[in-house]
Amino acid sequence: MPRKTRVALANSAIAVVALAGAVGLTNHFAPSATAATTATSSTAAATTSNNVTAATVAKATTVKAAGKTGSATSVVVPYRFGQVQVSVTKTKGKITAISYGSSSATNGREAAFPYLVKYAISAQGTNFSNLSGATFTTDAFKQALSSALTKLG
Amino acid sequence: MSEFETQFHFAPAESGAARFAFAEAAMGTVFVFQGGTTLTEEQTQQACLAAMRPIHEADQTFSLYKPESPLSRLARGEISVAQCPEVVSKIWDECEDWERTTDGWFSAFTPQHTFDPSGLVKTWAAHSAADALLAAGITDFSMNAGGDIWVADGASRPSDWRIAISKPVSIAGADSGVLTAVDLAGTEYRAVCTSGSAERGQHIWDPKAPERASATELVQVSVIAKDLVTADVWATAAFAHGSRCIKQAEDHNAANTENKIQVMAVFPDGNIWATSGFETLVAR
Repeated sequence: MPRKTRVALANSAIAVVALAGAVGLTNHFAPSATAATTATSSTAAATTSNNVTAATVAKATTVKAAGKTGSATSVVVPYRFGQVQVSVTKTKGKITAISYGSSSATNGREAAFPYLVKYAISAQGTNFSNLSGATFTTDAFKQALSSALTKLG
Repeated sequence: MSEFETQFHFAPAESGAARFAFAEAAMGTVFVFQGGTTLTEEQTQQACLAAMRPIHEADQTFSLYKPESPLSRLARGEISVAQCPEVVSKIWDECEDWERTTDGWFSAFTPQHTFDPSGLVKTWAAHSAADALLAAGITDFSMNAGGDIWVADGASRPSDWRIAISKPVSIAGADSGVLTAVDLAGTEYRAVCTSGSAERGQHIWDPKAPERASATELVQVSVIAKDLVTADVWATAAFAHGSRCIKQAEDHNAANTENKIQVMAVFPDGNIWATSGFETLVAR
């Protein structure tokens, strides 16, 4: 019997990417990613805080943990602005391919999906000197200095 | 606000330019210069300190957090623009120009109808700081002006040209990280500026909304341009404009082929939109 999992739909495409090791977009995506990694196949109607009206999770049959090789394909996911399907191929823990399958969207939002996937892939392991973000406070900068995100010298 | 001590790191190289990094607090945030230098350690440090002067001066004049600054006195109606330092009038004019350029989406007039050019002043002053470093003979560097980035033509390291864009969360948070990265090497672009609600909450007003209410349609917008001030102003304008900012940028680019902007907007639901030219800038 398939496990029912409440997953934020707008995020489930991202969740597939996130489970394969890419950078999630915001913290509220994290629970979705966790759910998707453990589900075999399921659908569930759910109402979430993200104004999403229905939910589906990925058939994450082979990619279940970092370091594995395999691929995962999300079922076609309907969400507020249309539907999207994403498949992720991972080799030795590194994303080697993401394909962006059938999708449709309204309000011109289809432009979002291919970008979203490419961004997640390209952000991996990029060596950069500067981070652009909303104007940080002095305190936030001091805290970030102790992480790998911001470094000096 | 806690103290932030100015930091200066200098690493001589056995051959070629030494590496340096400098960070100093001003305007409630931190400015960082880093790169290569053929000057001595002392000269490099002095050049960085001198480059900060226009930023500190602008802070003294324009801060609305300092009750006795000319801008605060102007906002309280105690003095007129004519009684302010001349630079206030200059910035006022520039703000009006930008308001026209952005079709009204950038506005330096607050919901309380006072003049608040802080959407322009930080990068305007940072631009002067970068010019000062160049004039001092430091040409191989990048600058981080509180999250707004500028790369000098002479920046030598490939990583100087790669600029990460933060997730739409505070850099101090446990969930901080990189959303994506762009690579400006070999392009006409030199600046990446980001506006968003992640660090300071809803602080950008929508100049076309009733009562100039806060803009909330987007959580973050990054703009890439040739020039730092251009990127900064458009980031503020695009955040205020919301989802239609992408179309506005495309229209702007069609009419300004010599001064294009590329925009990436993050929605509250995690969706990302970007202008058509953004894709080629994504770091590979």
